Amino acid sequence: MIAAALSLCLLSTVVVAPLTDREIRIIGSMSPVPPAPPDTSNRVADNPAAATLGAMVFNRSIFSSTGAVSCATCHMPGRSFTDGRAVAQGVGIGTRNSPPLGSVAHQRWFFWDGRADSLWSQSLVPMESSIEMDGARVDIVRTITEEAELRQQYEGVFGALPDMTNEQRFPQRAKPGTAAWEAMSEADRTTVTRAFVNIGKSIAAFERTLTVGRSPFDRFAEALKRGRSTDGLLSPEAIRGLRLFIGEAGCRNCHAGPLMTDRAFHNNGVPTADGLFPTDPGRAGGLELARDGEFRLSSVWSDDPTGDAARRAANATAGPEHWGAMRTPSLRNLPTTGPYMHDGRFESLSQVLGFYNTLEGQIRIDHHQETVLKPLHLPAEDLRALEAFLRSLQDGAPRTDAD
Amino acid sequence: MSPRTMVLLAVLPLAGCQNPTRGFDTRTNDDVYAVHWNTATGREILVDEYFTIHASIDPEPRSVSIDAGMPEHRHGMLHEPSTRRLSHDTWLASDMLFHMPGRWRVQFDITDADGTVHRAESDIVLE
Amino acid sequence: MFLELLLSVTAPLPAHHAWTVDTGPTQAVAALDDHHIIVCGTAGTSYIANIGGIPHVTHGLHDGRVFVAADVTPAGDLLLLDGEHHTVVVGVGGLLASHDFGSQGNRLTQFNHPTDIASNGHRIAVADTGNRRVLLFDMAGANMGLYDSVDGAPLALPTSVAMSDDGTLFIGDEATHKVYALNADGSHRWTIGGWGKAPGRFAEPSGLDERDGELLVADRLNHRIQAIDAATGKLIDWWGMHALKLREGNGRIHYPEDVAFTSEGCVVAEPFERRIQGFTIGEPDRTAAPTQPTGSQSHFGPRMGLHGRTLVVFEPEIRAFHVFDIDRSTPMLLSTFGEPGDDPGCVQQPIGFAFEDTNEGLLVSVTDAADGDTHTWRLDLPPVDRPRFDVDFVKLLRTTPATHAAAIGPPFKRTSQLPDGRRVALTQLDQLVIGEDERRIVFGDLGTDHGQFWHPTEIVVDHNGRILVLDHGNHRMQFFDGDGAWLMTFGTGRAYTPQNTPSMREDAP
Repeated sequence: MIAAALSLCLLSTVVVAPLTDREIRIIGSMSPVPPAPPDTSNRVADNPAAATLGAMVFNRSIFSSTGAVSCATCHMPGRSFTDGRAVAQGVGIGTRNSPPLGSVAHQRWFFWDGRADSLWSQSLVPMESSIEMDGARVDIVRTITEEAELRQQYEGVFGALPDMTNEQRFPQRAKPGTAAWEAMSEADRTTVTRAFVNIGKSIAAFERTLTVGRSPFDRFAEALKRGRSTDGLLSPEAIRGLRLFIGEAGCRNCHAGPLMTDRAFHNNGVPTADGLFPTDPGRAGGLELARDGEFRLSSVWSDDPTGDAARRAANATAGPEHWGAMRTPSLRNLPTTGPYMHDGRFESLSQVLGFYNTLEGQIRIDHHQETVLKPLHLPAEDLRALEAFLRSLQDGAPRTDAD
Repeated sequence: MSPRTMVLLAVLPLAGCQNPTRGFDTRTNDDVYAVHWNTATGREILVDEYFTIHASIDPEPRSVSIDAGMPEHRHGMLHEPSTRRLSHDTWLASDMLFHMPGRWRVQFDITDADGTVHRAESDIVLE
Repeated sequence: MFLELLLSVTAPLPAHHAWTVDTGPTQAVAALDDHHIIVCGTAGTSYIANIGGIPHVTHGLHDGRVFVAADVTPAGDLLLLDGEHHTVVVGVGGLLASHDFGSQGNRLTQFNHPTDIASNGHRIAVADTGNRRVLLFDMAGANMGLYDSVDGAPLALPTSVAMSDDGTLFIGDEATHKVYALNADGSHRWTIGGWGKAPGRFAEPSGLDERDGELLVADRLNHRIQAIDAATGKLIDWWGMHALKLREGNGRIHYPEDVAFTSEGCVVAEPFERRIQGFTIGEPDRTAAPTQPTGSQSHFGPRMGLHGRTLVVFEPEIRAFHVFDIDRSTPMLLSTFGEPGDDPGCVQQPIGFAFEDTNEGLLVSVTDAADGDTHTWRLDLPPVDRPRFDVDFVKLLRTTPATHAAAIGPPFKRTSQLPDGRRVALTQLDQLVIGEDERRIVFGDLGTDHGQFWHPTEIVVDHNGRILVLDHGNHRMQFFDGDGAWLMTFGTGRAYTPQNTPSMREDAP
């Protein structure tokens, strides 16, 4: 009986090689998430009053044409600021998944295709997009002027709003591309656009306050850095997954840093829903839009049109390999930000890992294309370990005695 | 361990592991030009962090173009770096960004007075 | 917004495969009328044929000329470009040549290896490739101007032109991989492309045709046709997914050389496949090509260089060079160098290899027809007993600008000599000839089996007396001994010898 018990102990003991120095260094680079970098293109980026205004606008659906869609419709606060859908549904149905907003201020490019080069300019696009909120800037600004609470908050930050009671000067549904907008004077268009931009900058100020919290992985990484015991902070399976993530599985090649994204664009060839050749140009199209964007960093609407960020955005390049490429998403809070991929085609993490494991159905622009991405061919237990690690990136997990 | 070493070890983690470098020396593949370069701050290059290259070329060339890419991945950086001449033999390339870990190759295309371009390379492996 | 632009164009698109006809090597196609097309073959094989079905030759066009391109004006005037004699032949009101103009040279009414012609009935545009320009004439042949640059950038290898009724000129450049549009007054309207595989980019655009505001582009190395909005330069659509097997037809396109609108849709010339395919208007076939196993695919050619045991062969679809050690039981890939672009070390159209053993090591220099630059690399290959692949075995030393940039390179190397002095040559019919007179050995039918060829481009004899044939159309190399016995075939990742493979017919790469 003693022998049997001893055997059982031996069977249940997992001998794990200690972390190497390299692994420790890399884990150290993956945590914690640092404070948001400054945004000189938005003079109210860290203004609390602007953030308050931004939160009010973010959560109100009065700015949409139907009165039923707000930013929070697709970026739900209780759902890691995404919506749990494959593709976004606003006034219409979109074609891409709603990205989560945790620590979004760290991104350099916004939208899956990077068509916006600042957080504040990104927030303006859905407000006027016909399939998202289907608003028009004249109506949006007028709404601010007509709602006492919003008006007070806005004017406390930016000063007096224009008088927009004259609907001949400020027609309904007027926005660039409409006859109503073209009928407006240049001065009035500028006035409205300036206020519209201020609203976007306020939304960005609010979004800059949305940070991912500490996760079990962060607690593990911190203990490691401080030379404390890591026992019980991550399961052995999750640690195995972490080692695969930064080692053999090569995930870290693109998902590097504290947010686990290289903030670049890649085409992983994920199959399309209909199995046909993809038509979404991804980054190739996004860069064109960014370069010509009305609110690009180098535009007059930026508060730092000649700064470093504006210069870098203007010099951004998209090579031939960027057609169909999408922005590398952050892996923070992954368990609550599904479905996954730019079109939300994978409902579960195991499906994502399954795709990378075999690359079955991978679509390549051209069948002679070489790719850095190779099928992993990992056994099932390794895939489970990877998933366990990815789940450890969810913040809000119960604290342990080690804290 | 000396007290000075202990102090250094305590300070380094707080400094964000940005270790200083002595710079890098390379020559063009045809051995015509010598290149000494470093990051403008003297600190090491980190993944996904912008940096600027300060390069000295000997003998003095007509012009220099600086770029970088990942040889195994067959792709370059996400930005065109801005290269400008500081003096007769020194150049600055700003907006350099190595957005992924792995082997990066900095390449210096040095044009001589006859218009011939000579290539020098430096490999940096980012963990 | 970009997607909205892409999808909002509703012009009907030719895309449904209708017929395939074997024609022998063709260079160009053009619509003659609602029922006939002009097919420009090689060596005087141009003719008029019915649209669709089996070509019924209704009128031969030769009389000693080699027509490389054709166009028909709205009034029905026929224009033919004689690439052999560097002249334009004009047939007004019918098929009889009423006059011709042009000669070889670089003056304003001369050409140097012209490759395409287009006309709207008032002006004629000629892609004067060897002179890196496009010339404009009136219908009588008087020069009306030339373009050697567009929007400040010089033309490198203009090989295709098209013209709309209002005089808008479209130019395709095989070295810049771009298509340009110029208004009738010469001002720049738009540019689209650049090297790449993605929709909206090109890899050797080789043929153009315009009708009713839509421009079709034969995108040769991408094996597809792309449709562009002629007014805006925006991509409309694309089709013709690359054939997965050589000689596969049924709408799968392989090295399209030219495209032309017809009354039913369009017709595509594929000289590599010795056929033309017709398409009717309909929804494009967007089936994604099944994924190939990972690893590079090699196309071998059209040029190569050999030095001792080191073979350097161009890989056109990635604009790189493969380096092989061929003195092994099967050739071994040691390195790959070069890439698309116009930086030093990037080659668009290699037209010559030169090797040199120096104190620095083994150097290889390649001249690029696109700009005349010569790029020199040093090959630091591994020891023979420790071979392996590494991109770092090849280092770019320098790029030397051209003093005179010849656009048209030397002919392919189709002759060589065995150690015993016997001559080896590829004939005009693409057969291999060893020796001369009654002891001559001739072989190499058209095909895919060992000892057969499909559009072989070059040959060389190695220091072991083996004859290497760059069998470009079959994407492989073949080795023979001095008596013509087949020794080996090697392609992507595979090598066949008499010991391991009796036949390749069912197993072509």
